[in-house]
Amino acid sequence: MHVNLRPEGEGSEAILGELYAELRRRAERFMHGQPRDHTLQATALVHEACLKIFGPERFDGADRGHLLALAATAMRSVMVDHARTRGRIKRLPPGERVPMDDLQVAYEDRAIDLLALDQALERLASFDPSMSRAVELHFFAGLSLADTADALGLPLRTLERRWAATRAWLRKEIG
Amino acid sequence: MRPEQWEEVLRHFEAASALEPSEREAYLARACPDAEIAAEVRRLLSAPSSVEFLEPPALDAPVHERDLGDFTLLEEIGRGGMGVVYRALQRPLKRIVAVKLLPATFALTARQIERFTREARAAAKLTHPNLVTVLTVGEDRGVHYFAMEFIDGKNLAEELARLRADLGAEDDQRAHLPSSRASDYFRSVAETVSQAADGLAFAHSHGVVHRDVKPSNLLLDPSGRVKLVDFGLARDEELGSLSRTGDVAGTPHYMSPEQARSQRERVDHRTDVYSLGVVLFELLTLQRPFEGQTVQEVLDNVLRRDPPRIRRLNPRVPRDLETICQKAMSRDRGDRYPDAGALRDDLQRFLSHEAITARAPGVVQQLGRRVRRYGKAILAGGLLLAGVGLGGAWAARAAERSEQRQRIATLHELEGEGDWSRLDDEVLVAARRTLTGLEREASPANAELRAGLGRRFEGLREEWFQEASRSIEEGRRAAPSDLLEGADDARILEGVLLMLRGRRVFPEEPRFERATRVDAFQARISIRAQDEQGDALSGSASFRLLDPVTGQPGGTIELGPLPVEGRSLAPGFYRFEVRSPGHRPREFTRLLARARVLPDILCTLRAPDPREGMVRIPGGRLFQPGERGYPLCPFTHEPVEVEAFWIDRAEVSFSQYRGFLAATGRPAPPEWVDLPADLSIEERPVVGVSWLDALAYAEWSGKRLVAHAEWELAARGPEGALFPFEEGDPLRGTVRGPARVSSGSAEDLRRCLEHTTDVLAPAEALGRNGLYHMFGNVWEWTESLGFDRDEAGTASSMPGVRVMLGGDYSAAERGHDLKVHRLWGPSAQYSNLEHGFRCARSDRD
Repeated sequence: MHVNLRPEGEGSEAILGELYAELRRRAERFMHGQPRDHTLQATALVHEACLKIFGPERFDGADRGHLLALAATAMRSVMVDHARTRGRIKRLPPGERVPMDDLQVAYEDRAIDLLALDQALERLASFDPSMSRAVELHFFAGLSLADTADALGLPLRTLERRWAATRAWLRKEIG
Repeated sequence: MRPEQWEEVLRHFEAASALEPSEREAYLARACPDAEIAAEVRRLLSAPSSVEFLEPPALDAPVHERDLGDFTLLEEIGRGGMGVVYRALQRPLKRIVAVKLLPATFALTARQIERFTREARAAAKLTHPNLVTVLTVGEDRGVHYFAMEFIDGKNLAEELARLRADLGAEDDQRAHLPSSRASDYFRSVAETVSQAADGLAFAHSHGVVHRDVKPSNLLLDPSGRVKLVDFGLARDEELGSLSRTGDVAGTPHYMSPEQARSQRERVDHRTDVYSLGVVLFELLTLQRPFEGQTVQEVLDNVLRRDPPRIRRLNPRVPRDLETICQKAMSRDRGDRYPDAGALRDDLQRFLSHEAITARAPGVVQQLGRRVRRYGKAILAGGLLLAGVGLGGAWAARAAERSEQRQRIATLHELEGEGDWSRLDDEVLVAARRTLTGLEREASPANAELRAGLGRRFEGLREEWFQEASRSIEEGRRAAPSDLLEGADDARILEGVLLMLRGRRVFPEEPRFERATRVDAFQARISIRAQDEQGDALSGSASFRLLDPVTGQPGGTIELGPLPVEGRSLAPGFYRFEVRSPGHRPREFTRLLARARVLPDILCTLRAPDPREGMVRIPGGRLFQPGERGYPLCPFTHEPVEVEAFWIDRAEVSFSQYRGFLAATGRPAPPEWVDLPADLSIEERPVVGVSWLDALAYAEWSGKRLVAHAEWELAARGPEGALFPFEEGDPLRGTVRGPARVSSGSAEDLRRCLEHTTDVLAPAEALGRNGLYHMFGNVWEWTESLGFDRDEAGTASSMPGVRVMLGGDYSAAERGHDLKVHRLWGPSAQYSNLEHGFRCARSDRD
């Protein structure tokens, strides 16, 4: 399970920053109710951002999994940061919403409490970094489990076996 | 929690959750002695189960400004794997239509879009009362869509839900399974499915396959007519990954075995016949034939299990409908109705009380199913042959009981039958017995009948034998690449099953018997040797079996004198050795899969040489427990004895590899398109080579690839030090580079080459045992198979995946990565920048 085939060095920091900004910008624009003709999913958001930052050639290359992993981490930060900020500004005039709120609601619909999830993922990473990464890829970046397994370089069966227990563990941790 | 505790938790959690809740406590008490772990497992088992937890949310855009081409979107009416469907107004014609939007273009490649529009156009040409007409295909501001006729009615999935709900309200569910006026219900089911089959038959005759027949794609218009929707679009293979993203993934319950196995090339119109069979099954029983907790589980069940018997679930179902459904859902495409039209015709025969053509599966077909289910174990263990002969007693008794006249009448009838292969084996066996009886009597009255039947049987025997031999041979030679994976099991089994039928019907024919012996399915190999002038050499060949996990050889077993022709060998991981007096022996490592016919080994032997550029490693015990090793690695759990061997001091260079290309005419790696002319790369490590390239070079140069354990021993020493240097910088001599974001472009190639150094320089790159660049520079292929470790800690090999070691220049920034091996696969034809290799030889000259 600890077969992390993907390089993941400090060189990634700058890219991570760029991804973060790009994702945040897109998410905000999206949630601002700019007319769009279709349903947007997290996976689309992430793919769009990756294409913008890395360009189609690089993104379709051999390191696609690695790039997606970076983007998933960035997406997690975007959402968690927003949840954190939002926690601080509790009192908005009634009816007024920050654009990203809807996004947060959509995520918390599925994960109860993003801040608690974030902390639980930190703890999970200490003994099972791959599964922590898997949650980022599947939940935050919206990749299917099959694509998540691809990105992690794991057999799908291995991932699925561990997914059930990981989910249960996180569910308990979030309380 | 510590990682190893977590592994335990995972293991017990998986086992316990597979049990009924009432049995879990007993399991934990029995299997999990560690109270702390057991408590944790209990805690996880008590977690609230919510389907949506940690499923990625779908984020809906606000609904307004919904004009798309000629259409104004009015309201969402459905969602499918491929997008959202709206009720819409076609403004110029002022008519209501349905419009389906594809996900936005950024998620699609140009090729996928091209495919989508091509298929949508093909579907738009189909006009049939049982197909929803596609009106137009279009694109507006990057959104691809198609419009189709709007059906104001329910789909079959909704109808099924209603039926189930009604059923749930009944007291005695079993007694009331589609009950009141049951026969009317079954007739309407037959009519519904027959209409759908008619629509499919029409589409198939125009070369369009649906690929995703399921209740929600079968619409019922207000008059009760069935209309198939989403033709050829819903589960496009190319778009497959798309429909798998997020929570709108399609349902796996109606997928055919060939789809479940992702055998694209086998998905044809008979896939639709199968899926429609599943729909029929569900309408008859209100249950789906295969269920599971996860998609994978459902697919596993589709592949491994037989559907439950329909009449056991609902005894009211007419036997003929059961038989029709079984035939449509045959796991083998060849056993299904040949096309949707034949399915429709049989349903119509049922409706008009005529005899249907489908037959309940015979004994051999059922045996065949068991064989398929347990195929691997059976082929390996020889149980296959034990099951033959079922039903013989019955046939004999039946034959004895029948009167002479009846027998002859039956034989006459039989003679009139078209395709004998479709008859049950019992019928054929009984017919042969009767025929033998007749021949004994030698009555002139029956001479013509006897001769005619005799010829038919002879023809059948030859036809079966030829067809079965062909399947087996094709299956044995089918392999995705020339040295890696095994044979086509399904094709082989097809042949074996036919051979078994042959054995049963023609017990006196030895060819059927021979072909079904277990050793007929061993791998085969031929080895010849020649000298440098191309003259055949005498000598001998032997082999040693390699442990597939550790890659280490066992004892030597002689194969005998050269040439070795078509020797049968049990499946396994082999290292062959070819020897001839006065010549240097050579080695060939090969993975022999069951029933595989390997390409012949033709080797050129040369005079003994001083092993220039190689270093002798004395061998020893390799053990890397705990931190020093990798969690999954074969050597971290048990020590491995490694024999003495020779290893190249340096990675193979560009100039060496070019020499090989020039001598053999092998094409250069595809990554070499834009080799920078201004860099002096001849002494740099060769990059961009696939595993097969590396193997070919190694064997051409009279060596072999390094085994995983050998590499470890050479790089780290028997004590398993972390690094190839006693102290100091672990990556001395490597030109550090940025973390790799490689796409195979000229730019990446240049960066890669700028960060490699000559294979025999600089001096700092010289590490343990006098070897250069064991870490850094480029990754190195080994001959060893990939491996995995299951929850119980048992290691297993991963055929088709090869281990790569040593890291590349970009590992410089990541000290921790130095411990990590790579497993590349599933195809060892995979190549990339930064992949090189070095060679080895056993110390056995």
